[in-house]
This record gives sequence, structure tokens and C-alpha cells, in this order.
Amino acid sequence: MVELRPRSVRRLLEQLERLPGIGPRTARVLVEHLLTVDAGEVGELAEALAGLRREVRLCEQCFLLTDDERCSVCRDPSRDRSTILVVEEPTTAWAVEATREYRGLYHALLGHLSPLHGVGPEDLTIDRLEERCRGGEVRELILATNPTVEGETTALYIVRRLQPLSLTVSRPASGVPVGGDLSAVDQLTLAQALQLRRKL
Amino acid sequence: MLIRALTARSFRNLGQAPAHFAAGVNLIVGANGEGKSSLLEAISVLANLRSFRTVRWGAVARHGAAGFALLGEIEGAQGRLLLEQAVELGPPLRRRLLVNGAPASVERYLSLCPVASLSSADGELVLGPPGLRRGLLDRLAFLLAPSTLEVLRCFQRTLRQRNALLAGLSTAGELDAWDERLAAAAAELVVRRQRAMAALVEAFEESYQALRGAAFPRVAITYRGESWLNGSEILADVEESYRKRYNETRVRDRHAGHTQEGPHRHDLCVLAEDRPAREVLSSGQIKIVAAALRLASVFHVERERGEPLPVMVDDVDAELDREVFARLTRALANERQLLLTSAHPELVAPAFPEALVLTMQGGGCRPRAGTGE
Ligand SMILES: [Zn+2]
Repeated sequence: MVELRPRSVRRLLEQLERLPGIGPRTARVLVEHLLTVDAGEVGELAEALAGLRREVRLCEQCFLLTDDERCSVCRDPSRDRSTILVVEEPTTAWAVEATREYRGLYHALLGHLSPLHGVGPEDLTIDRLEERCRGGEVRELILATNPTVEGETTALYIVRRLQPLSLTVSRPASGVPVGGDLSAVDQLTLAQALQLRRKL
Repeated sequence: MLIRALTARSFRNLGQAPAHFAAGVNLIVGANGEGKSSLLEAISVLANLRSFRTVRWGAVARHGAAGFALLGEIEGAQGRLLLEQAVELGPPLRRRLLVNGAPASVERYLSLCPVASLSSADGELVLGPPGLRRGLLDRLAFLLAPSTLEVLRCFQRTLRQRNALLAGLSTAGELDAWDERLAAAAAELVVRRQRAMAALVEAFEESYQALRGAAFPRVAITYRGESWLNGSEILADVEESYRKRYNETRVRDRHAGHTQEGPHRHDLCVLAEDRPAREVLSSGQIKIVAAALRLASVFHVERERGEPLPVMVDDVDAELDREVFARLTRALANERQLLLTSAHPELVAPAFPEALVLTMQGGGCRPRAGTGE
């Protein structure tokens, strides 16, 4: 058998197959599509891919993903500045925002406590969260860390550490499967969990 | 609940043809090495996701195979169900579980058809390390409440995290959080075990009574945790006790590099005439006590579910004397599906005139001519 596929095609196929949810079949369909559509369209896709890592950064206040110094939530004057919803990963905030149930600010910890992996409080953005809470404007904290051993313990740690500030602290109600990831939960479940949050 | 059929792929030396079982007694005969025990082991892995012979999955797959698969048909009050599992040895090890063709959680899958197995190695249950006895208790707790599996996983995960923290550098605040989490997980597990233990104690009296000979000593089982728990069964109290204790013993634990107290150190103690069983009982008596422990769990779960469960006995005549054998068969024979293996059918068969006799040869299983359903 002779290898008919040019090297550039094979290279793209290899890259695509590394992506989650894409197998050899899907990769081939995508490459065939890209070879037949208008060249300008392909250029735009290439530019979008290149720009993703070049332009995206973390909001200097809440650590959500943003193109600017501050994210669109932190810049929005109509958001409720007395409430912060704490998530492990910035992408979880996207799922919360999609429920349209939440009007406050966010804070992404960029992970969770895990001694097994050498992750302690200083490796997360907890210092910055404490600073924000000490600012005076914040009254309520919603700890939407994942319902895993590590997520629960991270929430416990934050509760204990911020205790002197006497904020109202709550956690989204259960209904989210144990061991799961909040961003993978459907919108209705997440909206209910936020409404029925319990005080800690 | 009973097992109707089993098909194995790349499982030890078993052939690919399906084996069919009868609702009552199945007597599996054949010379040693022909696959009798492997057939029971395959049923155990199919129904319980565990082997009674080994914990190494590599040893279960046929030599050189990348994995194995089992397909079984079970029948219970809700009709017939198809259980399927495919295991790829990896690494990483991957296991796919299907019930009637649809993916199923481990909790659901394991709850469907729990099978008990007795074997000549059961003496270990009494003489061996506490982990074996905790395993028996945790399994019973799981069968009474499937959420126990998640409680157990959560405790083990938290314990590993706290141990990693103790072995390295940490701040007091960080340890506080992990202590609190571990105390909650430990308390949840202990309370579930105590509930299972109460049921086991009651059922053990019955099963031991049925199996014991006239000269057997009095045997009792108890759960042994930390003495300062004082046997409390109230979740909030147990949690508070552990939280305090983990806080107090922190320096000692850090010195040891791991958590020295908790449900991972508890035991199910077997006492004969108020002394440790191994000091009082003969090796034959110890096997009977072990069988009684396994049957106690079966009897209780059967009452809870309102249906009999299958029991397997590997090498049924090996080391039991005639009288004990008669008592065991009386205790078991009651609407229950039995799967028995024996290399000496001439000794066993007379006790089960109604049995379906299956002959194992070269990993294949076929009904003996003249018998059957
Ligand atoms: Zn922001």
C-alpha cells in the first residue's frame, strides 16, 4: 500500500486525534471539510486557534479567563459586589452564569487542596480571596467547590480561615452527584443547587 | 436470585461455550486442573466484581490476553437480567459494566446478584489480618445500603490525603480542615458498620447454631473500635469524638507519618469462650466459624431482600468431616441455588440426589448424561 496522504494532512490528523472526543473518523471528516471550504474560512480558524493562548489571560481580580486585565463580570457596574461565588476552575463560572440565577461576582481558586499532589493553600488564590473579602464590600460567600473530598475540604479550609470576617457563607445544595464536577451538571440542577444553598 | 448462564472470554482456562445452571443444586465435578474452581471464580467476578482466589486481575485473564470478558444471565423477582463486563488490563485497568446492554454504575451492578462463596481458604477470615473481616462487614453494610460504597471511598481518599499531609510540611489551618473532613468520613463509616454489625451478630447466632457440633465452644463476634468511642452510635457524637482525637494526636501522627486511629484500624473480633478464637478453636472448628460468618451475612441479606441468594462452595468435601458436611448441606438447602465443586462426586452426590451434575473437562462444562432440568 502506498501512503497517499500528504505529510501536512497527516500532521493535522495527528493533532486533531489528540483532542478529547475526536477519534480517527471525526478527524478525517474535519480534515476533508477544511480541504474543501473557502481558504479564508480556514485562515480565520487558524487565527482563532493561535489567538486562544496568546490573548487569553486570568482576570487580575477574580481569576476568570479574560482578554483584558479585568473580566466582563468585574467590569460590569450592575453586578452585586457584596457576593462572591467561589469556584475551583474558571470554566465552572461559565456554567453558573448560564443559569442566569446569579448576579454577584466570582472567584476562581485555580484548583483545590490536595496534599497527595503537593497542592496547599499557597498554591491556590486563597490569599487574594481573603484580600477581596477584607475590602469591606463583600458580605456573602458562596463556596461552589466541587462535591469531591478535595473540593469539600477546600471549602472547609476557606470557611475556617475567613471566620474572623463574619461573612455569610453558604454551599450549593446537594443534588449535584458526589464526586462530580459542577461544570458538568445540567443547568436546571445547578440553578436549583444555587437557590437551595445551605449556610455553613 | 439465581445465575442462569455464564459465558467467559479469555478467563483463565475456561472455554467459550456457555455454561447453564439449574435453579437448585449444581454439582460441578471433574479432576483437578480441569477448571472447576475457575468456573466458580468467573461467577464470583461476574456477580461480585471480585475473585475469592486472587486480587491480581492479571492472573485472572488467560495468559497473554489483554483482558477478559464475562457475560451472565441472572434471574430474580424482577425477571431476567443480562450482566456484562469487559476488563482491559491496561495499564490503566479499564472495566466496563453493562446491565441489559446499558452502562451501569458499580453500586447498581454490585447490588443485583450478590453471591456468597465458601472455600477451604476461609479459615483466614478468622486467623488472618483484620482487613479481611472489615471487608466482610463493609460488604454487608454495602448490601444493606449501596451508598456505603461512596462513604468507604470517601474515607479512604480522605485518609490518604491526610497521611500525605502528615508526611510533608503543613500549616495548622490546613490540618484542621483535613482533620474535620476525615472525622466526618470516619464517623459515617463507623456508624454504618455498627448497624451492619448488629445485624451480623444476630444472624451469626443462627448460622453458627446450625453448623456447630455438640462439642463446639460458645463463639461471639464483636466490633472493636477505639475504646474512647464508648460504642456510641450517634453520628454527631462519633464525629465530634474523632475531630477532637485527631486534633489531640496530631503531633504523634505527624511523628508516625500517618493516621494511627480510625476505622481503618478497627476489627471484627471472633471470641470463643471470651478468648481470641485462635487460642481456643481447632483448625476444623475455625473453618466452621468462618463459614458461619459468611452464611450469617447471606441469611441477613436474604431476609432484607425477601429472596434467596446463590451460594458457592469450592471443593465442598475437601476438609469437612461427614457430620459437618451434613449440617452444612442442611443449613444451605432451602430454595437456594447452590453451586458446588468436588473432585470426589462419589462422596458428595448421594447428599444431593436432585442435583444437576456438570462435568468440567479442559475448561469446558457439560451436563452429565441422564441429568438435567
Ligand atoms: Zn474578574
